[in-house]
Amino acid sequence: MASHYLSILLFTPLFFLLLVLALPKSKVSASKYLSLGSASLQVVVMSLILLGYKSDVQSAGFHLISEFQFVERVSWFSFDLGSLGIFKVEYFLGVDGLNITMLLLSAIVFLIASISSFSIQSRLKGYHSLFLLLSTSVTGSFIALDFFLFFLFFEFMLLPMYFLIGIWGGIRREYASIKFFIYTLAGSILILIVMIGLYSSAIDPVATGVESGILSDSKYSEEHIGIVQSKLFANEIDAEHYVHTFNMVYLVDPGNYTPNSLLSTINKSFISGIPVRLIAFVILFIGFAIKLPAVPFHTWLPDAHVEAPTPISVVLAGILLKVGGYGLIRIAYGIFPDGGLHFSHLIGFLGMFSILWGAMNALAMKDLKKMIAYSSVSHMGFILLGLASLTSEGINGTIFQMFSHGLISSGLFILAGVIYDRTHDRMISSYRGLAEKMPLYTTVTVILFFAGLGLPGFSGFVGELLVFLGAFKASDLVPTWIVIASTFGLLITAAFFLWTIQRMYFGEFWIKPEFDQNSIFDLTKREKIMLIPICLLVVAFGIFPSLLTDLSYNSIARFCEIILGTGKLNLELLKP
Amino acid sequence: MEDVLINNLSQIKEDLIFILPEIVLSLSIIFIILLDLILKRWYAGLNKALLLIALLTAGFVIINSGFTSLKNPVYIFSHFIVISSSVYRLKLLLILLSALVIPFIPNLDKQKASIFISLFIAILLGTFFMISAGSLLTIYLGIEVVSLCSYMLIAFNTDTKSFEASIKYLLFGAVASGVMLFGFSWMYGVTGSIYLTPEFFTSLGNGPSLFVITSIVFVLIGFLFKIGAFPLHIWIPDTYEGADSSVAAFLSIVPKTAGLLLIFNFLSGLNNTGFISIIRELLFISAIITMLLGTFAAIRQSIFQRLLAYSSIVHSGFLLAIVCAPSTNAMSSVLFYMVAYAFANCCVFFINSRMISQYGYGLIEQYSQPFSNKAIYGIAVLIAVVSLVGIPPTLGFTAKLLLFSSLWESYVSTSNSLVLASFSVGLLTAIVGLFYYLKVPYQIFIKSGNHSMKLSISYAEAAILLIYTIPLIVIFFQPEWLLKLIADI
Repeated sequence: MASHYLSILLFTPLFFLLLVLALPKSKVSASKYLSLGSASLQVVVMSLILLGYKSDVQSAGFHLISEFQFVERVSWFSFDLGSLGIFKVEYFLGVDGLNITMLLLSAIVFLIASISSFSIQSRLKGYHSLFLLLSTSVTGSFIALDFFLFFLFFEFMLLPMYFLIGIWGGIRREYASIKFFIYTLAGSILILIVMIGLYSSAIDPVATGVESGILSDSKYSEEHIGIVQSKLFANEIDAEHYVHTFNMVYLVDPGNYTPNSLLSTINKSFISGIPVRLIAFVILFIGFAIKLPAVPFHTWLPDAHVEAPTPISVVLAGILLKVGGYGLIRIAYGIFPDGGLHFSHLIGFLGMFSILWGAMNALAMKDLKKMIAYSSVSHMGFILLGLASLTSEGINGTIFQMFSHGLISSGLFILAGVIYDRTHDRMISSYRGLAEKMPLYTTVTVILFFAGLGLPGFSGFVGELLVFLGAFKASDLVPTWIVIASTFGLLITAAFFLWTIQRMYFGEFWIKPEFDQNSIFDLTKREKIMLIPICLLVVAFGIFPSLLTDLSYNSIARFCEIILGTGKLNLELLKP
Repeated sequence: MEDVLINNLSQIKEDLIFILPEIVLSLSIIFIILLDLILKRWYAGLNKALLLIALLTAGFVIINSGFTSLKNPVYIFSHFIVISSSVYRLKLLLILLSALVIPFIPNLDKQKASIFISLFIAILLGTFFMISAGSLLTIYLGIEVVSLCSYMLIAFNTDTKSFEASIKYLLFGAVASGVMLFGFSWMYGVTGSIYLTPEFFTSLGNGPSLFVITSIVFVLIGFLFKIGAFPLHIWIPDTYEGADSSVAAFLSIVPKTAGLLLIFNFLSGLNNTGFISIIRELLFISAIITMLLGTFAAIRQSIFQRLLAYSSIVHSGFLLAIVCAPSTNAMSSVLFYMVAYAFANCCVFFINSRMISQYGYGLIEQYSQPFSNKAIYGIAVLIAVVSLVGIPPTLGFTAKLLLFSSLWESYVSTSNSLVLASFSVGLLTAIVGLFYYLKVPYQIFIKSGNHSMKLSISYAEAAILLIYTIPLIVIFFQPEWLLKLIADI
């Protein structure tokens, strides 16, 4: 049982999806309970995983398959391409410090979103089917360790999202949904290019060893891999014995690349003077940066958020964007450390630019939901800044920031939903002095706004602090002026959050005269169930950040060590 | 003298066994026409049954012939036709692809019905000649049989639009085959032979370059016409729009596959001559322009069948690029792609034919109307369309992955920038493609119209939709099944 926790986590929503589809027409309203049941079950399984999870150095994972936990690895399909060797796809799931927190976040966010989905009134069966599909594909993309499998889940997220925004969204939903779909499809096609290049360049050393007769069985061992890699390096293995792989753990090791391939570090291949590996990194980076989103690829996000129904906004901000960040860490940086090092200035700059641009846009927004969407863009900038620093602090900060932003932004979008449900108006200027009529709502808003602007004691502070610590430390990778400029982002963030509090919640109570004056009432029970736990978590992780950082500390230390080591080596090798 | 004649005749008699599938198809055409004369009235569904029986018999003959495991190619009818195990397997594939169209063949009245399916079978027969051609004349014969029958098949709707479509196709076809024949004559002038032997290509390679290149280009024009690639793609939109859905679906699958195979064989013949690189470059340019033209024209279409016509142009361009890119598994990935394309395409054409038969036209907007069983049609269209765009988990994604992989491989081995260009354009068209492919699912699920119309679905139709869509999903999870079958070819 314990060895199949990840599969159970992955297939729970699909099982519930079948139940939803089987519901008779008269019982359609039960589907919301099925969604809730699925999400709760996922939380239970996730707790079991956390109980069994080891965070010591021997289980750091990242570049060693043996150190991953809860591994499930079965061959899915393979085919023979004749003289090109064999092409192999695995059903390969596993957890290490880089994805455990994301998995936890996804369980929490989907639970909140499934409660929030109770407000959906029309076409329940369709909505909950798509919601459950989305849940599977998000979970899958965090635990897949095979690139093909990852890509399957990553791209399959688009379809449910397209319909969830397109059918249940606001007035301009059609425009927003197609824009979302095209942007993210463009991103995933960029990722596809690199995926094709990677699998045709890299091999599975164990399977290749068996295929070419160097190894007698597929028992895994470090030494064996070393033998196969040295033979590969010396060009002693025939191309027809290559077993090409999508295995992300093998893709991390430059020794697994066939010497004549375009993405090999020793084969000096260039496209118009630039090493192909660096180009591949850029393509991959853009692919994930669209999903993240980083400025200038962010314009789909405000549209999608404004039009999406509340629960979908929660999922989108809470967890979907993190898939982009996670992909950057594990795939873009993990597989192409050379690119990460080489472009660190640029990435740091993009991070700074996103922080400032997002914050300044948020300052100018009149629509509450749009303001929150832009604050997301700004917060995602910290992820790039932390990544660019490639220090243990920076990466810890990145992961912490993703987690904390997942919680905070879920809460913020629910808050926007609360006010929209009451008056169907999200304009900041339509309200004044809400504190008078909605004291609890105001309290929660203030807590989450403070968490969002990074006040000490809330989780947002820890993430941003760690990112800045890392970025200041890595002055060779991220110029200090970029970091200093980024700190101004904090100031602007504080400005727009505080200004909004002042405009909407303080002062004498007033709402637009067109509204039904009785429509303003404080949080309902369901809203409390969603918002209060979020506030508690935000505070808990703010006061005890080690709850989270302990889970991933060793993996991140390993990650930084490998990335810096191989990255520098690869850059030397790639020099013309 | 007499001996020679008897020898030749007995040789021909011996060779007949190799073209048994063709003979079966020809006999079934005759049988159908006779049946039409004998029968007093034509039963609904009889034409489908007859077509199915003809295809099944031909398939059965191929499987039982034992020639699917021939070791070496056999040249029959004094090198007019080449038979090999792969040719036999390809014929089987073409039969399978044609069978996919059967469910939505229109129910016509007596006389027309028999002619309709006879022409249908004749086109298949023509494609058999195209893929087993051993001489220039056989190529011409094959292409002309396909074209002439297609002209008539298109005109079957008998409204002005289909007549216009047919005439347009006829005019373009006549010019294209004239130019191709002219090219053949130049080739004959250079080589003194019409048989596609290695010597033919060697002496072609030694000919005066300008002359030879022009002749090859002329010939390729005929081939490009068949697959609908730039600059001979212009007939496709009008023709598809005017033709019956079944005819359009059939034309977009079977003759196109045969045309691609023909180009592939021709290029591999040219492979050892000095002209291959320039011809490849020309074809790459044609492929790139085809993809771009098709994509950007498709965006603005409002009639579904016309949109599908442009989409078929895009797919042609993409496949043409793969066919020209030298890579070890180009052919198997093209065939894999064709199978994925055929299932998805038949699914959308089938649904469109239901729509047209109920309400005429087939505007994309019509799909917003709240017809009953909307969900079933909607999900089927969605699966097919997602497969056409190439998003997992559908067969279309695996097919696209294979095609891009073989382009990548080809780029690694040649570093040709045109390969890279077609790679990028292929990706671009996939992204833009999403926009126009989603139009119909968008109308079905997101837009809601205000007319109340009924589009019923019978159990048989639901079963047909399952036949089209289930392989698209199942084979994605088990691509080995299809890959093994195709790798043998």
